[in-house]
Amino acid sequence: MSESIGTLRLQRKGDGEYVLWTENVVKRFGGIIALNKVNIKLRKGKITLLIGPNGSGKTTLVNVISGFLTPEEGKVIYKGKDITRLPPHDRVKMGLVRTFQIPKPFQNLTVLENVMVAAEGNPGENPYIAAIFRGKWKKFEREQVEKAFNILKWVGLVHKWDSKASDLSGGQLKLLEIARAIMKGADTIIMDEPAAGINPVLVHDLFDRIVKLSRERHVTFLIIEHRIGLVGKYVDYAYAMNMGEVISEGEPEKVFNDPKVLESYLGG
Amino acid sequence: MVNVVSLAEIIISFIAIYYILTVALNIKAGMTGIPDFGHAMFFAIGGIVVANFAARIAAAFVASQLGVSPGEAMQLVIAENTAIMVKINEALATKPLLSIMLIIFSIVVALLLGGLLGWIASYPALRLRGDYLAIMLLTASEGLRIFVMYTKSIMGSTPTVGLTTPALFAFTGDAGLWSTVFVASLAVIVYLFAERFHNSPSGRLFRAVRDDEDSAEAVGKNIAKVRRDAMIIGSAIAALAGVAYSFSTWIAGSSIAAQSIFDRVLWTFWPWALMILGGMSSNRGITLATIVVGALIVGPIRIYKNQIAAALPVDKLGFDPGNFASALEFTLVALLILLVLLFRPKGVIPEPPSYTLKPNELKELVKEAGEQLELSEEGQQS
Repeated sequence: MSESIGTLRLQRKGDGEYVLWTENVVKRFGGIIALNKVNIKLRKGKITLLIGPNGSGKTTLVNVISGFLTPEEGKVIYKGKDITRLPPHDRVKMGLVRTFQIPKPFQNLTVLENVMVAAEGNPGENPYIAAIFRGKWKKFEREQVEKAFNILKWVGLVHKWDSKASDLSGGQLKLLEIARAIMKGADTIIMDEPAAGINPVLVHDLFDRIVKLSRERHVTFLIIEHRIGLVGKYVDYAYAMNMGEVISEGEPEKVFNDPKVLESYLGG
Repeated sequence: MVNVVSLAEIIISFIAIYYILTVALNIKAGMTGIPDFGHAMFFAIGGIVVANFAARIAAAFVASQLGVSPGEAMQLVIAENTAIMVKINEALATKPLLSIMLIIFSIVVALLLGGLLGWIASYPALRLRGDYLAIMLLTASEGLRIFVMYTKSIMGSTPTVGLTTPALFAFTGDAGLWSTVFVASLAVIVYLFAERFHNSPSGRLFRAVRDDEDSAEAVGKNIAKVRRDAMIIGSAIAALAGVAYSFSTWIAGSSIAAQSIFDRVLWTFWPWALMILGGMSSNRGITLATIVVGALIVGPIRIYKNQIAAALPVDKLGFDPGNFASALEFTLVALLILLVLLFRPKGVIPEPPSYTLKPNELKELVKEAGEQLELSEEGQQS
């Protein structure tokens, strides 16, 4: 965690470069074209917003990017590599993690335990040695706990480290998911409607954390959201989709006021 | 009048055996969420190892005293069990080294075979969920009971009588006392193991898989392997409980039968009841529940059940006092479970977190993390 001390304001090398992009992605479901030659680009360490009315193809695009769906045409490029046909867990290993609309925590585990489970390669997870040879994992465990506490501090959950996940609010559960993703080594996080089902006051709190993460830890975010008024001020760049196509992109304000976008929301 | 020393030994043996068996179930059901209703079959492995395998080896060692070859002795000891075992047990009483070797042999082989059967049983455990898996394991246990009962080479020629167990503690002079001491020591070792296992990254991983398989998979965990490991470790410990039972002169007596070691009420549902009372995935809760319930049942309830039944107006409710007395322990534990589920649904001691590091160490680390951030925020302002 030494990198965090005193260097928070320093831009890391490579910030602002494109870390992930799609090239003319096409996805059909039977006769319906869900995605029609979609091109979006995510800049490293920036927050990109994807808006659009229901059925416009947002979730399909997220599924294609995270590997849950394979497109018929086009490519997904991540960190310079073509990942179009890579299975989801391999993308996770590369640092591309997605969260779901409904958080799925380990209910009876504490916040710290929830994050610790995400640690990679813990020798103590071999049940045949864990109880007898504690020395084999103690040091690794301690390092990971330090890391987990720092991540919890970053997402603003450290005061809750000893609470069971079942005692957290909806917003805190989303923060916990982010913490787990970072513990897992994610540097690109795709969030499907993070504000869904959360009280608007907490939404601002959640997005403050997301902004902090992108600025200070250089995490790249792609966020799907309906309620543009609520989250618009936090994002760096926005895409609007309708009927499987990107209809507008650019600065958030510009996209929100684009007549085509307004029209698509009004169903015109 | 009750002999206090014997009663104490009986209570300690009873508690120790049930404690080991309940820890085994807890690793599978409490920690990992596998609804094992076939727990008795893993327990039975321990009984078979002692009454059959250990007896055969003992027979081979004392074959010369029986006047037959070792190979013949190993067959005779099962085929003409009662007659031969009397002689073997006489010989074992004078052979401490052989007895101790057989004790160690029984424990090691039972752990291995219990683990093997658990590994086999983990195949459906990876493919079935919830109720289906519970029913499958229950029927597997019953099926194995019938197979074992009617297989002469395993349980001898008289299914209802079963096999006389080798008297492995006869050499001590007081088998009741020393089998109690030994079984209690096993329980203490299992307690330490269970505590350390719970407070390890593996314990945490098992509990995580129980809570949400999808999430565990999403953070890159191998669910199938976790469930398999839980079945292997839990079943091995259940077989150890079976060995402890067969060693115990007080609880098993001098013989075991398929009916007794595969008994689903005694060896599947009692551990479930104790685990629910104590708290799922709560080693200390299970310990407390086993000690309290075990002491109550073997102590006052079994001794005074007829008086208790006679004192209660059960005949007016249409119950036969004799039958009521014999089922009193079940009735009382059922009542206890209802009360615990009503007032403490997570058990008497709810599941603690897995403290891989000591709580104090964690508090220190969390404080350090806080200080570090304050430091970095200062750096940010300057």
